[in-house]
Amino acid sequence: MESSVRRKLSKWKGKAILKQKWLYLMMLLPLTSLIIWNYIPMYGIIISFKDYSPAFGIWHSPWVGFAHFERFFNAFYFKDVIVNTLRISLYSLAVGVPLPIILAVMFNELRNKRYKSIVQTISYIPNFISVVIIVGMVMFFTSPADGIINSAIEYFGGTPIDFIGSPKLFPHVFVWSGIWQSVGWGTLIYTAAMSGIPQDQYEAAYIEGASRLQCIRKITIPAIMPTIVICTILATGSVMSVGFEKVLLMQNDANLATSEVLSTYMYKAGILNAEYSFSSAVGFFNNLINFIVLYLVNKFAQKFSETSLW
Amino acid sequence: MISSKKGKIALLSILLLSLLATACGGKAEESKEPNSSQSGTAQEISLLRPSWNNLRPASKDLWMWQEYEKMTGVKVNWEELSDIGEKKNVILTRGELPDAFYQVDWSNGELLKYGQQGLFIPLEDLIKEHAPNLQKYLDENEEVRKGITNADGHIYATPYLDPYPEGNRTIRLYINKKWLDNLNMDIPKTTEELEQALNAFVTQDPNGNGVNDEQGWYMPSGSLGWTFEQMMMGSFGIGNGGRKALGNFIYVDNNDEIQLTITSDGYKELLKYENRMYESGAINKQAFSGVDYDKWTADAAKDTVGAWNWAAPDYIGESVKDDFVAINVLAGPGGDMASLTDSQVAGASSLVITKDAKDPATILKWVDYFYGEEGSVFGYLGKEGVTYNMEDGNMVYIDEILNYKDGIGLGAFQYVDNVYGGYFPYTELSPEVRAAAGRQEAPVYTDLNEQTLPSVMLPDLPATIQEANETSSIRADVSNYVGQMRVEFVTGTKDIDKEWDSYIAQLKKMGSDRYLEIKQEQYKRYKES
Repeated sequence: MESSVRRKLSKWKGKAILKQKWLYLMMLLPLTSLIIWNYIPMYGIIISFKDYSPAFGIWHSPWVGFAHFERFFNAFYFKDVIVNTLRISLYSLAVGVPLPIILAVMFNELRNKRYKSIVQTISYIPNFISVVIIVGMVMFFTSPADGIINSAIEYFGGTPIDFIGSPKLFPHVFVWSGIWQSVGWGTLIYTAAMSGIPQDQYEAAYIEGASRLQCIRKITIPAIMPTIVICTILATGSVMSVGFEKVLLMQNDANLATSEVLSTYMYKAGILNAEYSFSSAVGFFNNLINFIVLYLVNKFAQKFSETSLW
Repeated sequence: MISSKKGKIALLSILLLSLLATACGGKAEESKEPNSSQSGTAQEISLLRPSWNNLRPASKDLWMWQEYEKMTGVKVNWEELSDIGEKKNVILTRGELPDAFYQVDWSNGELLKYGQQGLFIPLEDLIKEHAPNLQKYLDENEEVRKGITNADGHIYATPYLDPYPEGNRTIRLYINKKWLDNLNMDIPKTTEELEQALNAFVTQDPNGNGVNDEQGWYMPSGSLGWTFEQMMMGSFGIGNGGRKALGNFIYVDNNDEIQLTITSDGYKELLKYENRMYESGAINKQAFSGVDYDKWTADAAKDTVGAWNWAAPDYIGESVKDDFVAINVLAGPGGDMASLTDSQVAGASSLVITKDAKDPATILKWVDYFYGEEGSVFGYLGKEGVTYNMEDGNMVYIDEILNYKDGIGLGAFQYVDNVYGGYFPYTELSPEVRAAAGRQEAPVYTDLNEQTLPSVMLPDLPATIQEANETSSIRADVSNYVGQMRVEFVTGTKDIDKEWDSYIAQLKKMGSDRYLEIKQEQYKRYKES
């Protein structure tokens, strides 16, 4: 009896697949691309346990066990690099996660449709500027000699601040310029989630005498909560990865004390010094930490809310 | 209706599938191609080199290479890549390597590693047989032979040679002569006089515009450490050994022993000197961040630069370059002086032949021409009657080059390749000949002679693979740390006297002692070789 049910079930599944065969066929292409580009290259990770040389190729390079990991853990800059990476990425998370939500709620409360769409569009625009130009603008604005910010400071009688050459200020400059660029774009997904809230809920609340703040707290936020949870989980999954190009572009000897992060360290060792094995060991470690954090946060989310990744 | 929709989707997916299939098919066909080209004429070589195509015609279209093909009958298939420094190691993973790397800089460690692994082939026997011009250097010039022979006794690359220290091998200090004259000051001869001059520059309005916009020593951010500071090492008694040694944090002391520059007392004094100048503004406040080359040249064009370092004055821009006068050495507090001059083996890996070269002899014969007098002239000036003419016994570029809109150098670059001393496999011409080519006179330096040149100018010391592995990781950390501490010491965020001991302790923790030991060992081997 049980087996017949199982047979039925499997039959039913096959039928469902057959019924949607075109959809499944369409899925084939992205799936193939995913396998080719994201899964097959993964076997290359074995070079973190080998002494890779192009002369021998990936398969024939000699095994060295955990030597590269040991070297990384014993490296003089190990602690600094990890601390710098965490500092910047946790800081980015702390402001980068809530700010788009707040902004999205504010957009949602705007009653003038025309004004709202103009403001929203303006807030998206920086997202389309290349990071090279963003960094150029940051340098230009913050220059202690003739930057607009320091000119203003000097005009009001202050002394110019070397924003980009100060290890103390680097995380702030990095994170807030990033916020400026991406906060508008980040509101999109929340705006989309809010558009799904039925208007009659607000109307009912209004009739009951709820204030705007109460509406936000009791209707808007709970409605977009699943989106917030998913976005937060995804963001924490990349806690060890800091935008590489931007850090490298903003880096100089003066701010190196706080601006050397894992990705730039890897770039210098791997690409510039051609130590591919060492570099991929660092990368492997990096991804391992990311995965563990993602897993833990997801577990946490499973426990305390209904939403989670899997 | 439905069926047509279905049909469309089916068609689409078939199309996509076929796209995938052709993509795979294309790959297979591509890999066949190199084999088919093998059957071409024997006199065909493939060279991989950095791309200069934003400045001049591609190599295959460049006058010089077309002419040289006619002269030799060897056809070169050029492959040109930008940012080659980052790509060169990745290229080695290709199934089929180019016959040779041209003008690509490999470190000693890389040459040895890839040489021993069989990717690069040893050249010493081939040179003996097929490269008489280069062999002549090896026979007659110890320094060249030692400089390009690796620790395993093999030569894996042909060099870029520059026999003239008064040319591009020396980094000099350029100081604004116009400003000195306006302030009735002499050209500084000592580090102290330099400090006085630069302090006067930033306080006494030498450009006379009534605005305090003058800078003292001023260059793009991040240059200080490898220009000004390295040159001043000569004045503080830690500058002997040549530019490559100083770049590797080592110098040769009076007992002919290798020592570390960065832990020496001389360096401590030098940092204090820089710190004093930074605080008074004699060294630009943005020495470490915020100024790129474009901003610097723009500022220079406004007559605001007091002093800077380079090998030749045109780096600062045509409009102001004649305001500056060169200083090769300054006497330091202890009376020491030594110029910042590179070894005559300016580049040790200008042409490297790979395992896939079908005919290495042809490549060597092809390149050897440029190590002879005639080839040097051909590489820099081209051919008489075509790219240069004789004028009063001098070879002078044709008018098209002399009147080129972006200057003579770039004008010549439209015809010939070896204009900028850029690590070509080649022997450099004398500064006199090079200047005369542009109807100019080479500057005469009275302060650059036997006494002021470093007594040794080392090439990169040959290292064993194990040494290279060990030093490269130490060097990476040390270089990072020294760069960081330089900023803190010079800008005054850390007090040099107070923090010096902990600075030395940190360096020791990174393995600076071991680094020194290896370098001393290498130097001993180098001298005995």
